[in-house]
Amino acid sequence: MSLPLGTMVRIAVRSLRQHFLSTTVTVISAALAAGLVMAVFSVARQSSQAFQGGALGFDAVLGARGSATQLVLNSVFHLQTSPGNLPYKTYQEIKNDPRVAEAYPYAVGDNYRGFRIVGTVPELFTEHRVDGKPVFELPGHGQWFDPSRRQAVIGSVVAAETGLKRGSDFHPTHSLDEHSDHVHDEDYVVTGVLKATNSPADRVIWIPIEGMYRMAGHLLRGNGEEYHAEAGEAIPDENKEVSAVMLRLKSPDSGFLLQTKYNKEGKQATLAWPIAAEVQGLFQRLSWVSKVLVLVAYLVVVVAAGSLLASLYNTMNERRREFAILRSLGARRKTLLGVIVLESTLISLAGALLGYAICFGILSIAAGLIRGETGVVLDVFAYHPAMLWTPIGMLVVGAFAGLVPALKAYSTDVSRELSQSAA
Amino acid sequence: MTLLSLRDVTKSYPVPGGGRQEVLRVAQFDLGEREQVALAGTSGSGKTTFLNIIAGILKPDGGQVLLGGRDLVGLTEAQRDVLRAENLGYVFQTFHLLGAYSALENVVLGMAFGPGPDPQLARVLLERLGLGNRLHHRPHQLSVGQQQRVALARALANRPKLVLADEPTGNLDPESGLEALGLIRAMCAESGAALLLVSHDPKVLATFERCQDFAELNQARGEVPA
Repeated sequence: MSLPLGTMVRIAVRSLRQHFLSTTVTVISAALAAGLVMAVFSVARQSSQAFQGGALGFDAVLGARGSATQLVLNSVFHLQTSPGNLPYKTYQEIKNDPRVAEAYPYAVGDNYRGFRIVGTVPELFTEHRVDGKPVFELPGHGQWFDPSRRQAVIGSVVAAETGLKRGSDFHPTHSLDEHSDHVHDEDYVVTGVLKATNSPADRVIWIPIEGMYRMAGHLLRGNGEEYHAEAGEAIPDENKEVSAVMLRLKSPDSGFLLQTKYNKEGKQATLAWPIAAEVQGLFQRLSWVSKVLVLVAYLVVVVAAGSLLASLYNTMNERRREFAILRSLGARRKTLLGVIVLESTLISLAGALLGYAICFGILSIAAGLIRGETGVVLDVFAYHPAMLWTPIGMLVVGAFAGLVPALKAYSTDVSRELSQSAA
Repeated sequence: MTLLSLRDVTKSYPVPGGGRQEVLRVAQFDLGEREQVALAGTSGSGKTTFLNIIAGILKPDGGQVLLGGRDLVGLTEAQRDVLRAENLGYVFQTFHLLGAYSALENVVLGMAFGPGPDPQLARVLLERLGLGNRLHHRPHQLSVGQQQRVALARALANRPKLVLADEPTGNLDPESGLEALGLIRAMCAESGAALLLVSHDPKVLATFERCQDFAELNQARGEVPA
């Protein structure tokens, strides 16, 4: 008579409880493996999607001649240094190009406690929309900055990490180095905190571009000669510069034509278009990191399976008497085999379930780090197919890992074990 | 009516050098239903091998072992396992209780391989054996005599046709041994099971109407060529 599954489960659970310490260690090891695999796949996919959506509806970015990747990193992700500046007239030219729907200038060069200060125009906030919805929103009583005053609106991450809020004031630090000793005398007042966009923009302090031009110590070289803005005097457009121009194009054809104009025929500017393709290319170049992480995760699974096998195998010698007794009571060999495979499967099951907690723990930590570093927000509980196939895979791996000790139990010599333990 | 019948049963094991060590050669042995028989044998005489063959744990090299009309020699191992679970109870000298299970669980687990777990019957059996207040004690929390009674309850729990007892009093003091023996015999008689008991204790053997010298029964030839 075959033993009912319920009885087999009870025998297996009793045995696991009897070896509580090794069971616990093995479950934790399996949980780490499952959690790591699920977290790695989830972070990889979500960060890729989030970064590719980080362009906030812009199709292209125009910047100084150089690497398109550096241009995207600098102007979209607010990372790395600026590849250089463009004359203001280049901004005006592309803004008036009939193929361009929207164009907003960025001027960078300062930071506050490591958060980049970007000079721009208020139209970026009031006119830029994606699918008819404004990209930037000011909750509460916040107001956009007045382009003629020393005012700023700040991203949600900046607010959370610096404590700045509406009405707060701050002094920008010169350069992109947060440890720079050169703190500007200019005092800026926060007029609003932007609603989170879940993009790198949440890590930015936005000020009027005019303010960037007029910051003490900032030199403009729009026409090739150094110019220092004086208070009360208008700055001639020919002296102004921009670090980048964010663009929304009227059609994909416009991208091809502008790309030809700036990248092939021109020599002073670089057009990074389409931004999504640049980001994807960047991710592809960094894909080895993801592959290494996946490989490490799989190695942890192998180690966990080995640990499971060794843990069960090591108990086999002390359990041979138990197996012999069960056999003498009528248990079949395959029943013992089933009990051991069930034990390893139960360990894997417990590990897989605990793995979800580990996965969400890793994702919470990763989400915090990524949000802090890039402004991109990961959804800790976002579904990824790995969250389904990893536990199933763990059960299969666990069952196979249990086969070796199970075969040892299967081959128990009842007569010898009973007579030896009687001696 | 005959319950157990052995004919020309032999068992040998390979030994270094290519030969074989014959440990059992029984020309004929019969046991009737509800009969109680004792076998007198010293340690190493092959009596445990004899019991293990009857229990279907070991398969003989040749001969015939009929239990309730079925020849164990022709059965597969899995079939012998089923036959053992449903028809046999086995009481060992060292009881062989499972340390991780309580007295009640030890008995119920034994039932799981036979007709199925029946905690109520297991409880009644243990209470009959004076262990009503020890149901949930683990073996190490029981005296040797109590462990012996748990083992007896487990052997009887599946209502076997035959109970095999291998030196069941060997670990008990003489007084407790005789008391346990009386209990085993009474419970077997009550449940209608036949009893085949192996012992080297003359006091135990003297209580049986039929007692056979195992040395006479077993005509094993020792080392034989392959």
